[in-house]
Amino acid sequence: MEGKLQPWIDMTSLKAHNPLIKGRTVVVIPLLLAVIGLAAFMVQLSGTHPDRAWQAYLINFLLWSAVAQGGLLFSTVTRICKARWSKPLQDIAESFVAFFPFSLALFLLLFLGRESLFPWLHHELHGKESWLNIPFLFSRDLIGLLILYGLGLAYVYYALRLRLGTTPEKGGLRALFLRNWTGSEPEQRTCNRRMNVLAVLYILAYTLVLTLIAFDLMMSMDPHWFSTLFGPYYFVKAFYLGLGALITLAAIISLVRGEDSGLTPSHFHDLGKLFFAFCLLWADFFYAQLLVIWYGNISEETTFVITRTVFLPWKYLAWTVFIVSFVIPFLVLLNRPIKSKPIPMIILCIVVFIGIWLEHLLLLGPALSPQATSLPLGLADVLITLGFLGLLIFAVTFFLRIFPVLNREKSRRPESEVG
Amino acid sequence: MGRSLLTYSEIDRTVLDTLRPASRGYWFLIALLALGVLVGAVCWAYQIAVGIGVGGQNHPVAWGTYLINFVFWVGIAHSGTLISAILHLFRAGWRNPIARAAETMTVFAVCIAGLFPFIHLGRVWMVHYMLPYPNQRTLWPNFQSPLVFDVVAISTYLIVSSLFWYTGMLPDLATVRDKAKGYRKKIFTLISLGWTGRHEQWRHYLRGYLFFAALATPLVISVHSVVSWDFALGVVPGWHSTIFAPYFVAGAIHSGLAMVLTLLIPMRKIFHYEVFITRNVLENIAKTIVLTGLIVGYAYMIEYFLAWYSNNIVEQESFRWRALGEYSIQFWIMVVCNSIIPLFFFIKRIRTNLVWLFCISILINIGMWFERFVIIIGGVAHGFIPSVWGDYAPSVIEYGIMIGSFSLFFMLFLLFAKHLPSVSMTEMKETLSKGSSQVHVGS
Repeated sequence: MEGKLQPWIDMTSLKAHNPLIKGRTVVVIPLLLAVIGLAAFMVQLSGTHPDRAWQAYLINFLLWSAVAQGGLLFSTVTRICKARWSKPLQDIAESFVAFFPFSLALFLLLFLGRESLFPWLHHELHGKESWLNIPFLFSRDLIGLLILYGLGLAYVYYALRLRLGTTPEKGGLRALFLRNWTGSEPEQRTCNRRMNVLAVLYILAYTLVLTLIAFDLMMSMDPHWFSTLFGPYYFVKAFYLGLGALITLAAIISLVRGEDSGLTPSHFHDLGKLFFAFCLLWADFFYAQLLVIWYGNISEETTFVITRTVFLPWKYLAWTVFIVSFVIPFLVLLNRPIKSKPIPMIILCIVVFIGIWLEHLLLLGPALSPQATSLPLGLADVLITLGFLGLLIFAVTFFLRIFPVLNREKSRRPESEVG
Repeated sequence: MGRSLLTYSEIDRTVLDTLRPASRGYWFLIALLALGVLVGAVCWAYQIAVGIGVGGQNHPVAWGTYLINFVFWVGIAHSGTLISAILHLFRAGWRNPIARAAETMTVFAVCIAGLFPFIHLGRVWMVHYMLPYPNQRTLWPNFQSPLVFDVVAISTYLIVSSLFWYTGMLPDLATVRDKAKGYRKKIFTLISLGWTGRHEQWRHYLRGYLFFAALATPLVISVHSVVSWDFALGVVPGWHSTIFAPYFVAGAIHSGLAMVLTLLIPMRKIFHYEVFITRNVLENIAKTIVLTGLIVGYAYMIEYFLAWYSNNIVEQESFRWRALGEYSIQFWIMVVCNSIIPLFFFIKRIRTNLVWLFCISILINIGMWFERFVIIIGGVAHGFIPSVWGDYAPSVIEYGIMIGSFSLFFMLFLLFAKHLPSVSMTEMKETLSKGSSQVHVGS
């Protein structure tokens, strides 16, 4: 697909040709979804099962934050690897940063639900109180998220300076990003250097902070259970989700804008392979934990697995999760041509999102709803999920409206010319 | 080092030059290493004659340096596949000049690793009793034993990596054959399996290479995961940890990459490979080492944190003892060499300096050896019941066998470097042809 050069598109024509960022509907619909989600949450909260509202909230907070965190990770990782194929995709991945402020606010709101959320609050913890207590938990997670999001935003700030510095239209919010920007060669070099450093720091923070979140907001819900691989399992899953979201967004952009998007089938093919690889890695990390726990057969560890795979109502959910978030994507992605077809890939990614949503429910549900006789899943959960999704879409489209993804094909030397 | 214009014929010439008759110094080195191998062989023979008791293994430490070396060599093997297969799938072109040497290292390291279970057997002459595995010799097969998984995994790995190595070498063997005379021509005619370079052959070759890469990638992850499960599946404190599989895989690649640097830096100098194995290539290896070092460091940290968090006194004691007990020196060598020293590669001046690269690569090798020491010895020496705590020190015989294994590895590698093309001419030409017919290679 190299050598197919696209001309530069100036911003005015780009706007005209781009219904994705033109109409009001793309802003109104997500906001409407968010409002519906909020309403559903409030109704659930004031109903008979307020705990269920917070359970859905936590699942969605974790899921959609992971999407944003993992989405940006793609840009930083490919930058560190000096990948040349991924340039237009990096720009798209950076738009997920727009969800970071929302994610932070949503995290702070979790504090209101602490009584419903942390089953260990009124338990005897035998010395774990020094780690598992509300003030310490919220302050360390907040600091972690502030560092992670701060690094992510700083990274994107420099990325946008570089990206916008070469475009003719510089008004509005863009001007803020281009303060003191002259576009000189040394300035671009500094920008690139800072991005490299920030990318490395973001990756480090990503692993550490997501490990912390995984331990605090997921693993500790069963306060006596632990697994050393749980952190990596969580952040690999977040990257798996992030890649899925990136494929979805890139596919939509390419469907809407066609060739103007600068995205070629080979981009989707490569991204699809990466998605496949992380699907496998996620499943491998699941298996590595399961095998060790099963073989060790220590009751402290096995209760966690037995509750979720042998007991009702969770048993069938466990199989559903396994099939939906691993077996289906695995079998589908073995197929080569499908990776570069936008619509089937969007459908597959949605399937994976549903699967991972259910996986969150499987991991959190038995701890948060120990008395459940049937699956704690209802219309309210769906609506709350849509609300969170609406918020994510709103954030990303808002970002894309202000900072459109440019067609950079021309600025990039085709691989054949690079030594 | 200046820039140089590389051409097809120059690639051939540089690589084929390395196959010219060797100097005296080379044969002296081979003789020295052969002596080392002999030391190992004599020690093993002595152990067979006198009994396994000549090693330092005891109760409770039944697994000593034999298992440490086994895991060490399997680990060394892993980066070969990372470089030749995984980086191939990632289309990371910088791996082309080093893939051959790394793969060769893999094959030899797996062979040497495979010796250690035999060395560890009490009556090695009875080994045939285990075959065929569901057997007629009234042994009770235990398919649930991770040691059985391990035998299957390692032998699969040996088969696949040797086939991958040999297949990748075919076009190069034919090139040597075309230029050779006399008996060498006969040998290379035989081992190049009738390669003529027809279009059809290239098509099969390229497809085959890709499939091998795709198959070897999950294999390399599974093999060291299985090795880690030799430990993690037991409920021994310090072993039973879910992170072991990825942690071992990362550690294996960590040590393997360090060994690649240890081997390549002298080889590059001696064979004038500077035009292929540029500083940029070495720098990329160093960067990858930073990644694996960070993963290993992360695992150390998480293990400590969760040992504390688990609230399990045995687990807590086991980790306290690791850092402060009898083997604390080994522990700190491990931490410093594996996860702190590689961080120096963040500094560009260090990762582009050959001396630094070489020294740090050796330190990482030492650190990774001690990591296995800490895990294997530490786990069993300080278990659940204080009355069966014990300690362990390798005996002279074990040191002898260790010297033998290292000598064998380096001897095999030296023999390879002088008798087979140690840089893949095919892949170097591929690197060229992807650009124009001539390309600037150099740092």
